[in-house]
Amino acid sequence: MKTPMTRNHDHRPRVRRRAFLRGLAGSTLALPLLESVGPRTARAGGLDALPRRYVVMVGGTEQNYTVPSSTGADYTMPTGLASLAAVQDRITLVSGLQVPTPSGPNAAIPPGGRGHTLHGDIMPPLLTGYRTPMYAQYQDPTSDQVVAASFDAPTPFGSLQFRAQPHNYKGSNGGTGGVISARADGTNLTPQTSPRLAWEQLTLGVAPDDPAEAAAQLRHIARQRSVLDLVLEHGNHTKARVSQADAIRLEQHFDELRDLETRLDQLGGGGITGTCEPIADPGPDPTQSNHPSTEHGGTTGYSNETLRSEIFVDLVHMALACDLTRVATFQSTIEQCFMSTGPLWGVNLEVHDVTHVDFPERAQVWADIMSWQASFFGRLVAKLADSFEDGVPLLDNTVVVYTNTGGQSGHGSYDMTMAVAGPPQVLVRGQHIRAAGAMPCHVLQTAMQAVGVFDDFGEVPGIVPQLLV
Amino acid sequence: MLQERRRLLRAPGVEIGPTIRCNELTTTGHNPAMARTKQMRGLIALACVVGQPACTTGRGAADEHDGQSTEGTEDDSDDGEGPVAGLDRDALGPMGLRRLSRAELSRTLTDLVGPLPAGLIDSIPGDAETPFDNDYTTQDPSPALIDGLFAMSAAVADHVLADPDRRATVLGCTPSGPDDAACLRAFATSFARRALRRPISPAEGDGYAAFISHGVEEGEFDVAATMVIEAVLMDSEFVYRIETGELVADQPSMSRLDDLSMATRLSYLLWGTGPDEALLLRAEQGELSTSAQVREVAEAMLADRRGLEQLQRFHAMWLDYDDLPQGSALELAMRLETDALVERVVAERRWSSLLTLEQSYLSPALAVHYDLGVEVFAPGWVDYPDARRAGILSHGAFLAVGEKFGDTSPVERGKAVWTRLLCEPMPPPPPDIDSGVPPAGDPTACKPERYDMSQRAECAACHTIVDPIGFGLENYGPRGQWRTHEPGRPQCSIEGRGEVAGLGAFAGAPGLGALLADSGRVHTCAMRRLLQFSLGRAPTAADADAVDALARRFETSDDMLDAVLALASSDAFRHRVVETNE
Repeated sequence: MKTPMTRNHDHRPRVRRRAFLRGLAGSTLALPLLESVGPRTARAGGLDALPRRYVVMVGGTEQNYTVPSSTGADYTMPTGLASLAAVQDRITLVSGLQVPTPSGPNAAIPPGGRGHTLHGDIMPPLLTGYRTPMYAQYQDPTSDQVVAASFDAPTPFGSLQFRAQPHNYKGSNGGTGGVISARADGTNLTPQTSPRLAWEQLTLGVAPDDPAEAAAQLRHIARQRSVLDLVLEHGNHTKARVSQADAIRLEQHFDELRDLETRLDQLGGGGITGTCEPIADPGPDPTQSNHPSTEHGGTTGYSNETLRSEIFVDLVHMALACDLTRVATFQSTIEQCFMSTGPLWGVNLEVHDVTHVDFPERAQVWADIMSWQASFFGRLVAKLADSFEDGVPLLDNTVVVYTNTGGQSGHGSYDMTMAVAGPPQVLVRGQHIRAAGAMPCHVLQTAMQAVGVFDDFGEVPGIVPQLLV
Repeated sequence: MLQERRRLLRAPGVEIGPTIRCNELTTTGHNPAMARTKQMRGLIALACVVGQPACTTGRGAADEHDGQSTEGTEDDSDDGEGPVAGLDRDALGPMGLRRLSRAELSRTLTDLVGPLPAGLIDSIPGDAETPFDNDYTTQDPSPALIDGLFAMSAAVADHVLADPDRRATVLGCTPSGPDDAACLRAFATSFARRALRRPISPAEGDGYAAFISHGVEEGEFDVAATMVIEAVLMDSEFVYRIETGELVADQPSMSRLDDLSMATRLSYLLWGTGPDEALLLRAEQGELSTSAQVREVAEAMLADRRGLEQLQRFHAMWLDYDDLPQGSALELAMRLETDALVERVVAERRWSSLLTLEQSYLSPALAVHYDLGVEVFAPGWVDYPDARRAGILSHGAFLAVGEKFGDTSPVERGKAVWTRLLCEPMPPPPPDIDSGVPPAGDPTACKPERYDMSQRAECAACHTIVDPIGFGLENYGPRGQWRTHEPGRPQCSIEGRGEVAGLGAFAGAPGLGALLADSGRVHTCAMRRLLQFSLGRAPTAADADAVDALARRFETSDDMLDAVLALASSDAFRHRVVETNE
């Protein structure tokens, strides 16, 4: 494939307005150390020369069939991760992970643990390492946001959040509602679910070849900038008329507007240049079709999550290659996924039903679902390995972590498997590591260290030392 | 603040997850707002965020108060008119800044520019349902929201300007050319007034009119018009419900809403959309300053079709049938049946008939589906021919909520009645219980035996409450079909008798409906949810007086319109306590 090159970086210092705004709320809102200091030096040699990148990818199903039968190299890829066979030598599996649960009905949630084995409470401890009240949204930062704050990279997008499944289809899908990224201040970052819209945002700075069209695009961006200027000017007047509490909430909104403004500034002045290759227009977003749901009656939906996932993964790859961002998250399906299994696996159920309902093909369907979700991780790893930056594969400066939401054989959170790919000088490749008793947050902290972020993570800080070279 | 919250959550004695809950209790329909805290939320003195309720048989108090009844106080409002007992100005706790929900955005835009094409607001992230879609504690801004708003604004502009008739209607003037600043100003001033729900100052008009330079540059007036539409729809005053007013003496965190803020508050409560021209005019003329004035306006608004539709939405979200698929004619007929019932009990001012009415609005297909034994030739009200059915509890829309494992779930149905209709708490099952698998035991046994979950004490605590309710509704199949035995098990006849803890035994939907209607507890629950719907957050201890006052009034009147009017015109609703650091 064509080798993408990074665009010229804008190294203008960015004013971190969020830090200022947090101050509005009073002395109790002291900044976490992470955001008040600059990025720390990567431990591993060779990583400092090029931008470091960090991606977290999540499925949305209780995992099963994801533990290899042997450890070390040359393991046989389990059926639930069969789609990763093509990148087996580029990744490492870590199994035996657990998110702990209370020891008994009236026992407290252990540190970094979850309250029970239902769906609603797995995501926060899984991705933050902190226990969280049942069905609550994230209250602590996810690893991607810790890394993004540490990087504080001069990229148009501080981080990206994408999710392929656009609708719940039914139910509330637990407390986190399909969010897998949260800032240190507790802001839950709703993911973008429209590939089309994501593409439009990411390719805003791609100048058309036709000079007239390019000039028209620049004028269009200038108009958008003017609109935002007026919106923010009005916002300041509005803020002056409301209570302090309302003003703080508005400022959070204006923060996001200013980020958009910054993006327009960065991309509108010439945008992506050089040989960085944008992906083609993906066209309109796939629409939802409804399919029977025999377990619950009625119907449930499918919105071609396969195509949506592929586009999103390609967009993540493009964004990393073009240095539009250095941190991204992607989720194929929402936890406790109610997507129809009909179109992909020929069974008129919801994905979630497969983890409960017994039927003859259940094991194969469950494994196929696992493998399908993992395939998007494999797709990104392969693309990163085949893309080069100054002659170095992008994967050698990128850490990609993949996890599903629980395991094994149901709704527990024990013997979970995560997959990691990253710089070979820091992370081992081609291995299956058994890390019995370790927690997912330990894998994440190890991954964070691999991109030079050495902060403690979660309530029970720790790493998986076998993952490191 | 983060550290303080962690301290609260993790301090000894404040456990965040002791769980007493049992098999097969639902995994959906939670209330994330209940357990959610963060930087901004820390500004509120939330009493409801930590700890989890256990199964109890008392009056519902999952997210609320100390149970103390408060007598109505004398009116101490600034106008001295139309007091509503117990709903004086400090009867409600703090309220945060509210963003328009996706549904509110859709309706507001429709009012502004006419019917919207499908998918126009799909770029806006969906709302959490707690159970209502307007919970401000879940409304975090995000890049996805901003990008979505920008895309939505551009799409609305394209939609408006692409159609000559629509363009002419929305612009309100005919531009003489790309440089017609006067037309642009007039359009902007009019459009922004409706969208921002307040008059637009000349200076603001200047700001919008300045976009004409871009129209001139491109030689196209609509370029500037597009920018106006985008700027207005991206404005924080459009996206959020900005409330302003006059501070109340000696109450530094309380203000009395000005008339424009009151118009917006009323409009989104009663119609789910922004004020129309008539309401804006009344607000501008100072006609929403007293309780009596507000009541008069609110009465007229509730008489409007939009008022009824908003009450139908309120019931559908509260009772969890709003998300049921409507892909088939039968599913659509079920929703129409329940919407018609809500309309009728509201209009006839006998709300408890929601649970007891012996008629239903049926299509021919739905009558066949229910196996009523009466011929229905066209959609309309039909007398039930026997005592098998009454009220919403025998409707397919409500009964489908408890569908699980390919059949009815007595546990889910019982839980729906217990938590939704009675507002009672329901903790999760023990950590080692997988509620997604069918109950253990002999799969050939009849349901009561299979669903016997009394072996473990921590299971029995809840199942002894909710299961008997659900078993009393077992004569209705997953979508409300009548049945006398379990599907495929003729030996397993269905008794159809149940019990509500603390209320008594019943048989079927008519029995349960009568029991609940007579208890008054559903009335209390309805008012808790009405308050939640109106505040955009779950009630807290600070709202206890208001809940009590509304509940007493509603139980006596049985009149939903009266309850809504009482709330809307109360001093409590015309004031706002803002969040503070205390």
